[in-house]
Amino acid sequence: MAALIEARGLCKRYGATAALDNTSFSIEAGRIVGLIGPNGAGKTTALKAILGLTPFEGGLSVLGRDPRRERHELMQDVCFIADVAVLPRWIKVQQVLDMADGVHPKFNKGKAQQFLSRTDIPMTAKVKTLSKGMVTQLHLALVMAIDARLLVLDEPTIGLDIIYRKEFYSSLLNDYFDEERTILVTTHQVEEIQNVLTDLLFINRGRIVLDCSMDEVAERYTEVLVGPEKIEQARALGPIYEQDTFGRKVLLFEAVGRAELEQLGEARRPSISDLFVAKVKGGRA
Amino acid sequence: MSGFLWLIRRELWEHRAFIYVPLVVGALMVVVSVLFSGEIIAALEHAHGKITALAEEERAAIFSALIGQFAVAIALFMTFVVLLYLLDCLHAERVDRSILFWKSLPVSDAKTVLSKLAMAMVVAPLIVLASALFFGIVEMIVLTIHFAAAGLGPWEYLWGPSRIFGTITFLIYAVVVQALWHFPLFAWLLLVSAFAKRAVFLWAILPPVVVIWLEKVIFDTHWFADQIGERVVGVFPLAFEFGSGGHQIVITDEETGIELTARLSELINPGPFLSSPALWIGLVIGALLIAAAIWVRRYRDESI
Repeated sequence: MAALIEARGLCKRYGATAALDNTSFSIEAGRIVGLIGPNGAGKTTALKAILGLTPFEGGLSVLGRDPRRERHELMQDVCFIADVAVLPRWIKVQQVLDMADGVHPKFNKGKAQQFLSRTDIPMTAKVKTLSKGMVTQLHLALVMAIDARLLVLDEPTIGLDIIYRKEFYSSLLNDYFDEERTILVTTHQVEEIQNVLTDLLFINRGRIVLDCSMDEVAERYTEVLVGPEKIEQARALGPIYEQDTFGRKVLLFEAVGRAELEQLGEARRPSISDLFVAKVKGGRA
Repeated sequence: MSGFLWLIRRELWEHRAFIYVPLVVGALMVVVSVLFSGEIIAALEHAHGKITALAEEERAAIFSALIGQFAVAIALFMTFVVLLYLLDCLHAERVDRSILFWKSLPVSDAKTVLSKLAMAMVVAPLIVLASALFFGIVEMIVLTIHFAAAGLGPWEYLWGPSRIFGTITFLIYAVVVQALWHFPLFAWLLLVSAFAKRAVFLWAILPPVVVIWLEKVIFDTHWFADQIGERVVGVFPLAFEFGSGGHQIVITDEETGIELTARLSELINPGPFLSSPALWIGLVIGALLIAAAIWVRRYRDESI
């Protein structure tokens, strides 16, 4: 099956800074992809390009369409939740359901109502009277009721307390995600989604610095706790990153045999955040 | 097309003023006439002789004047509602970032901008018409009581045949003509709303003022200012025929100087209006400004 999103040489500049610098990647259907990068790395710009919200240079195909020319056709199959609550504050819950039902051919109102009935959100309330967590629940209810092929989430849980954050991702996984759908998510809080993701895309300064599946991460990257007596031996193997933890060194290796590393110390699969720091700092060095 | 109607509904949900301003203005006018019932009845008794002397056709003027009075008052307030709305609608959605939600729906930017234009050009005039007729007829009922109390037969003087249709025809013509004439102004406001980051009022007013000033300084002329003035009020001499036709029945009240035109529909004069280059040039400029507004909403990057 052809890739759902195919980006070739995306470029986008804001004045002197490049938000996207010849960026290429592709995303297959049925994956949950985390697009992860430091502030200003080009995450949001990449999402905006995919959603047809910003002009850019380069080749980009989303569901076989060009988002620059076919944004509104594309939005029949793409859903989008932005970093902060963007639901209009004046609108009533009932109205936003009616509106989506009226203009979106793939919206299932019954499904949204069913989801909302499990929350404390009253249908007659205005968005501005809801708490931030409730607004996110409402937006999630809307999105889950749309039979879309691609869901784009830009920092969807920012500013939410931990209960809502956990609920958000478990709803997505249990009630929404299946092989037909693809989710592309950006976040700062890597830890809370690392068990959800199937694929990783690290972006730094407009460039993709890591593009692999979670399975490949486990195969390819190993973190080893090395005592002082073996440190030189370990460094000879070319770690991509090194940090101190309680007097011992933690070294991160890429494409070095597991058996070899286990002789140096305790070897384990690195956390996404450690891998991220290694890749981003490595890219800066 | 039903999608477009949803966009209109959504505008009416957000901008309640389109509904309640005409209701409040119309209701207030009726309330005033009820409160001043005593004075009105006394005035009617005073003018008893004059009213009974009116010819059948002249009596129709009372109805037309009444509806017209409501239409003018409601239209005046509605104009403010519409101008503020146009200047705000594409700006506010960027300020509160709800544009990201609206853009997540499969609705084209052209459709969205046209729905906002339709609020000014179609929905607002329809509301003015409907509310003027509604309150005009409510007021007729109030006046029926006043006439009866003054000893004048209301059926004879107020509710004559074929008065409603002529008046409605006139009002429809007036709002259509006005909307077409004002189209470039509306389009300019929408473009400013889509374009300006802040200070939409200044952006709406300053560029024309600068052009007028430059023209004054460089050429010492005021062509552009004249064009704008014409655009604001110039439709009436162009689209209506006042005073000249001998077939009109005008009742002048010597005491107040008020003139009532009996058959409003005879003021309709579309020939000079439709053949005026100013109308067609205005429509073309308006269309270009709307296209620009759609383009700006489509390609503007909110993160800059």
